[in-house]
Amino acid sequence: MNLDSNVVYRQSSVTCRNHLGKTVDPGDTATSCSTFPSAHHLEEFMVKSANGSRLFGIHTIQTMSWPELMRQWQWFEELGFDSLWLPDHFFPTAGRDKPMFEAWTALSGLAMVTKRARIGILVSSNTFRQPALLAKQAVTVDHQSGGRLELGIGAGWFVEEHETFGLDFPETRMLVDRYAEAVELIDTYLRNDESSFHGEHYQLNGAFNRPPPVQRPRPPLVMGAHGPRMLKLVARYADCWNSFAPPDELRHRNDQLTAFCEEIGRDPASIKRSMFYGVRQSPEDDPWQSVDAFTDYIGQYAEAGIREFVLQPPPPDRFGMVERIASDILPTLRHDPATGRTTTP
Amino acid sequence: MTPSTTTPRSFGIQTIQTWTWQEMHERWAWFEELGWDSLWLPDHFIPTARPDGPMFEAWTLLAALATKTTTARLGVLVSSNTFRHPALLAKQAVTIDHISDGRMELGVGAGWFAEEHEMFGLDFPKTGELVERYSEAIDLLDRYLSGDQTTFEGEYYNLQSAYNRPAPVQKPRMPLMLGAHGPRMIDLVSHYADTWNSRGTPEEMRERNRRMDEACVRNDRDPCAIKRSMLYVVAQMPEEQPWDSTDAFADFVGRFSDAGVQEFIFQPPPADRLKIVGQVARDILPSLRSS
Repeated sequence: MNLDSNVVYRQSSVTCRNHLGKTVDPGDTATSCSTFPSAHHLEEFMVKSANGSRLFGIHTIQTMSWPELMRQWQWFEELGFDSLWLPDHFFPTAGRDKPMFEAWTALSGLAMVTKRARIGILVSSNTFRQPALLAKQAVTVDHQSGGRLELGIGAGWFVEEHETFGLDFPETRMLVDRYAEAVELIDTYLRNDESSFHGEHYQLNGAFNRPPPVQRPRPPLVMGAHGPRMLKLVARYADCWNSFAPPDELRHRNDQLTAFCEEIGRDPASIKRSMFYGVRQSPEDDPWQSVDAFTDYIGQYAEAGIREFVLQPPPPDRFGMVERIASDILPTLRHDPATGRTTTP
Repeated sequence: MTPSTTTPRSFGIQTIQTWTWQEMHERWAWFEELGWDSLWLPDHFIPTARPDGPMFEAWTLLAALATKTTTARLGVLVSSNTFRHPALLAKQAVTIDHISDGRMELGVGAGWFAEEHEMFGLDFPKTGELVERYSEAIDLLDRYLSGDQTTFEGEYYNLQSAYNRPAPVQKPRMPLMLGAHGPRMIDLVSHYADTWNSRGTPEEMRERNRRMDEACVRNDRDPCAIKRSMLYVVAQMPEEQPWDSTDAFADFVGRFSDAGVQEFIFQPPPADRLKIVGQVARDILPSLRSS
């Protein structure tokens, strides 16, 4: 390609095949295909989650200014946190008059200012978008991030935002019916080149999944779930299960999930067990009080079977403690005595 | 006074997101550096020319491309109202307006490509309802994005004291770029559009421009307040070859300018002929802008 500009313009050296198996030129706009820029991210991650070392993520709410949000994500990544997350709401649960960016476009922008951390929405509300659109968004962010996307999906729950913005919010049974279909559709669509799906709520008719995601067979599915019916869906489809509750309750759900896995013949160890700490969800807890408090907090949940900890940070005036925890004890806490293994980012 | 004598010409590029991500962001940075005023993506689940071809999702892609550019105006030309609830679309537009520091153009259309709706199980209503939904959606977007708190009672879409926070960077809101070809749609978008986009022969564009002027008079809009924009689509205009040479490009712009077009948005030629995009930008865009 002969482009006489000052912009560095690299011709992709990756050879691609089109849907007929023919080799195609990536520069050909008519038969363009995807490249796989950094499969090592995925390998590194798979090693981490498979060998049993603990993982630590940060969950920020997109209520701050865009420059501040970028600055925080870059800082948390530099501190060594393994994953960075946004919630999916039209306004913060703290108040309908508070500012909030749209989750997937914000995530897409934040993917551009981070390099290593896994990124995702914890969790994307199934009531906001058609699952086919969500799948296409996920593939797009997976490419932009070099294969760092975690695809978090939940049923949706925050009634007030649906009323305020005129979005359909069905009663619980229908809500979970739709969620079950959406997860099955997304799993099927993302694993295959061409899919048909005939659900009661969602359909695909020979839908192409092109380009395919960078991560194969698809980005990990992170499913937010608390009750038994939802946990059965998790057992069937999830790569990672996320929930929040006091340690005893979370241990109970964890055991339920293991039992549901065994019922359908799935290896329970193939689902990463992840917990979420939110200030609103757990107002009585404050893991960021001190290094000791953080260590105790992680220890309690680790005993309940949790391997991944996704935590909302304290207010910025207490970020000093986050920095101290990240440098002083995260390396130690990553080491899981149950497996005797540890990794560093 | 006709609008074409009051607004300077501007020139944009629409790329279809069938390229790899690396090609997309490198080419967008290159187009911007060359001086193209605006950069656009279409909004489809599959390429319209080749349903088995690759395609990224438009809005997540645009958000990332906003971080790879610094001066060009950005938008989806046009976002299909059938794909997303307008409240979600509004929130996306505000988010990218912040990511891009005020460079967002909000392009919205009714939706038209029946095949992708069928393939991905998306509701594609009959024309009457399609236009009614579009009409409500752009009314909702205009009100919600211009205000701080909006209540909207439509047949399809509702808002109950919904806050628009954070507000867009651009005030009172980012420009609405509305696609319309037929008389009913032209009349409809004349109420809300800051930019109106269509495509056709010079004769068709002249006729639609006249309809737009009449619609503005009828609907109490200043005709000069609506920028007249066209999209050059290679597959739909085989008789036009603006990328053959700088002369061909200047000739194209001249003929459509005479028909009242002020903003020219082009799909680029195939990758092996991209060089002409640079030649046009350097050699003749500066004079075409001011002439």
